Amino acid sequence: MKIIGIIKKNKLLTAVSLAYVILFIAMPDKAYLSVKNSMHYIIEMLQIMPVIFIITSIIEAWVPKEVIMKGFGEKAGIKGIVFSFLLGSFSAGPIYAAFPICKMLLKKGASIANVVIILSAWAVIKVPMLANEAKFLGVQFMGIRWILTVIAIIITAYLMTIFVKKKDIPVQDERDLDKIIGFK
Amino acid sequence: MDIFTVSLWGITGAAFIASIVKDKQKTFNSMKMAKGMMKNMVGQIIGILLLIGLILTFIPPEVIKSTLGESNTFISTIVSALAGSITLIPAFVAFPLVGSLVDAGASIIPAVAFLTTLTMVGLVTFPLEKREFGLKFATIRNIFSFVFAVIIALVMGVIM
Repeated sequence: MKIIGIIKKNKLLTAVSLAYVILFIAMPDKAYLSVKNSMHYIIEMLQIMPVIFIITSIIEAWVPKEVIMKGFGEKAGIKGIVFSFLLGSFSAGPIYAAFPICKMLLKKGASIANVVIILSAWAVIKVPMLANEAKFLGVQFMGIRWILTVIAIIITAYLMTIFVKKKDIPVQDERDLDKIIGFK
Repeated sequence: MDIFTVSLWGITGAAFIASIVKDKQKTFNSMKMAKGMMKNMVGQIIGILLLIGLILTFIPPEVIKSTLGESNTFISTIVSALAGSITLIPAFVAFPLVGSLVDAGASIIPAVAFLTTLTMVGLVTFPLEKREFGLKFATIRNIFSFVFAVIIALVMGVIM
């Protein structure tokens, strides 16, 4: 029963592992290449995720709700937008590294619009990425794409608040998690 | 590790020490929470990363390159945007690749569409996003990001 539970919880990992097993039997060279390709991402993940989880938990424990609401909440206005862009732009790691932080910020009273801005900025307009882009595609290319992307992110953020409400965001498993670890 | 990752470790280390000095029990609890979060996500993340490895084996950068250089701009823009949504190749590979194409005279519209969806739309990270933020949030954010990536690409094609 326990194994079934683990498989159910990790459907994707189970499916991908199965694909690898089949591939190792059918085309071992392709399977080997896939593992080699994945290694780069796994190393990147190991460098960033532990620190993301630690800092998320520390912020969760120490930063009061009011501070988050003031900085990133519904009433934070332009300041909230600027903060969100700054947080996303000066971040490290791939987009999934932003998930735990954004989830925590949402729980602590950040608005959906600002969370969308953080997620999108985290993904596309990170400072080291911009430097790389300017190097290979020119400053003008980078600059125009940056401006258009910022505009698109702001529009997306506002459209999202029309379609998605806070009640659409699951909090259930988070509560279970608190129970499991006896937090609060 | 890039400078941003290193500084994040530095900041986190300092915050962690400050937290211990202020309240040992609270720090201990929050570390338990970090561990719980990690347990909750790590299976999914490793699944995603192994999937990316598979995708890159079957859709290598050379295939993407030929798609981006396709002569029919409309088709290549849509296909490039889709390719960018599926793959998750690192920026230090993507920018030189796209740069060499643009230098060779390829249209920048598919190139921009690819660069934008590459990072902003995540089909492989979708299951994780869905679990953290719900189906509605993940679906709508990814759809908007895709549409805007194409719009940004078209506008850049007109401007540049």
